[in-house]
Amino acid sequence: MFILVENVSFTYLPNTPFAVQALCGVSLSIERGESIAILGRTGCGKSTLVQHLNGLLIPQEGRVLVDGVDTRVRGTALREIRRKVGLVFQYPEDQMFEETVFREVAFAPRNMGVEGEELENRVRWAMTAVGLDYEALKDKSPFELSGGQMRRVAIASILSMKPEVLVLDEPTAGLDPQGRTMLLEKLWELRKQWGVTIVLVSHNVEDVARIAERVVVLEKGRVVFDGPVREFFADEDRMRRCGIIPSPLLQATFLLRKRGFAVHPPLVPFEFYLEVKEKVLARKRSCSVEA
Amino acid sequence: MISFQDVYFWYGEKEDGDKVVPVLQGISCTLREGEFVVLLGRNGSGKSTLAKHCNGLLLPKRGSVLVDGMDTRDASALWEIRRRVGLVFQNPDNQLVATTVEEDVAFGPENLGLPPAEIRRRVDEALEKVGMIEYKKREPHTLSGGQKQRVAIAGVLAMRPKYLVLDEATAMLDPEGRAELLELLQELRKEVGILHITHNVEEALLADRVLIIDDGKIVAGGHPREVFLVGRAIERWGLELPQIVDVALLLWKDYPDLFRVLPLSPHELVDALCSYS
Repeated sequence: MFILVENVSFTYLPNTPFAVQALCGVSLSIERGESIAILGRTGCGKSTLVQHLNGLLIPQEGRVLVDGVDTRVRGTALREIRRKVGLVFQYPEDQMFEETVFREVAFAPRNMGVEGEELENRVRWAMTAVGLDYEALKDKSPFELSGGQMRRVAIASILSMKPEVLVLDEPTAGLDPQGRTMLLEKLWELRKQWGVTIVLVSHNVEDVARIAERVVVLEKGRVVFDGPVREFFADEDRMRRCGIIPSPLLQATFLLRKRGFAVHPPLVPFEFYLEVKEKVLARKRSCSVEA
Repeated sequence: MISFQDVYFWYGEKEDGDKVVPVLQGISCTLREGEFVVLLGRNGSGKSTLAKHCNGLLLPKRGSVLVDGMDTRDASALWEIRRRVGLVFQNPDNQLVATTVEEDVAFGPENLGLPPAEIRRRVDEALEKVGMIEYKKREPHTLSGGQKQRVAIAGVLAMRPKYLVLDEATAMLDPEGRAELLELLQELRKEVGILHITHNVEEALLADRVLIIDDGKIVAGGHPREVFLVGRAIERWGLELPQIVDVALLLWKDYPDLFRVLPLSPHELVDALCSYS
């Protein structure tokens, strides 16, 4: 396994009146090539957990191993962990500062000593991977771009380190439907074509349905569910208990199930359409023919 | 009524400069008292520029915006226009200025020069309406995003506005905060005209009327049941269909007598499916 989180606890401002326990005995393992969503309501510990995945935070109890290396290491080994696990924060475009898109995307690999043709290849690859036209955009200021493009430049600037795991905190927040669909498709391709492991932090059920195969749900700093996405989507009570609001499609699914139709929880509208035709309408038609 | 009459707007001065592309290109639309209108549009479509025209933060370069008959270009009417039209913006962290919730809500009425007892009454009433009265002594930074937006709305309500314009006020909220805010708008729609600007198509389903803006022009308008009949062609404006509508339109093609009208909510869809025979 690639990342192992073992019994990790973390408290902010420990031993003060303001102490807040953010993680409480969290264990989790992430395999290469997986696509995982970490879900939970605001304040459940999601962001604290992902900051442990590349050693930005160090567990106060328990340990985190990345590719077999404890994140407590220092120096080169820690830098290697940070290269392998790329973290994209919320609204990452707020952190951009370079004058051109090229310089922005080249920043991290350049700091790692990559230069010349190799650097150019990396930047070209990273930009192309997120659907940005290298030739057309490399010399533009990142701040002239649309919101969706800026977001993708910010992601490319992490990808240019060639990470093996890409952790994204609410990557679609604030994007319009087109920007959102574009980004989710590119993340999907990154995984399929380049084998990048995707860890998505979100409270958006629709995004999760479109990209994740496995769901980890946190509540008050504890893991309360870890399993296949469809299994999580099948249980309305559990979803609501964890503060996850079912998408309209899932709400319709739950209503139909209450009325006795064994409809499987769908991930996208088309799937639901097929389910309804087969499990609801076809059955009705045959009933009325018999009658 | 807020009324846009053939409004053009571009950023910058030159009218004939070849580089200036108008952000609004002949916008005509209205918002009546007691009406809940959702304005949908992709990023860069001109929707925020339109919002800022509603109370004279931006002034039309051509055409006019009238608020209850007052022209936003009439400087002497601007105070009254801004009292009647309250604006709430996207980022909950940028809108609260005072050190406690109640002081923040009092900011507007204080500037109106109202007597202290009246200010007190309005602040409590506004906080009551948005469900934040228990938080009145709290510091704004200790609130969640959804709570901050509700306080921002209370600050506007304390001015006793007739219209409330929300410019992507739900965009930065988590699903629970978003749900809270939408529920509040359902309450407020009885008293004030609401123009809610968003790119979240699901939020449009609650509207009396949906307007779609693209490239600075209103390209579609009407009740959500009518507007979303356009189907997946909505993608040409950078939007997508609400999930339930998407499914319903697919089913409707196969079963033409399945629905009488386009269902919008999960309940409407399921009721129609279950009563079909």
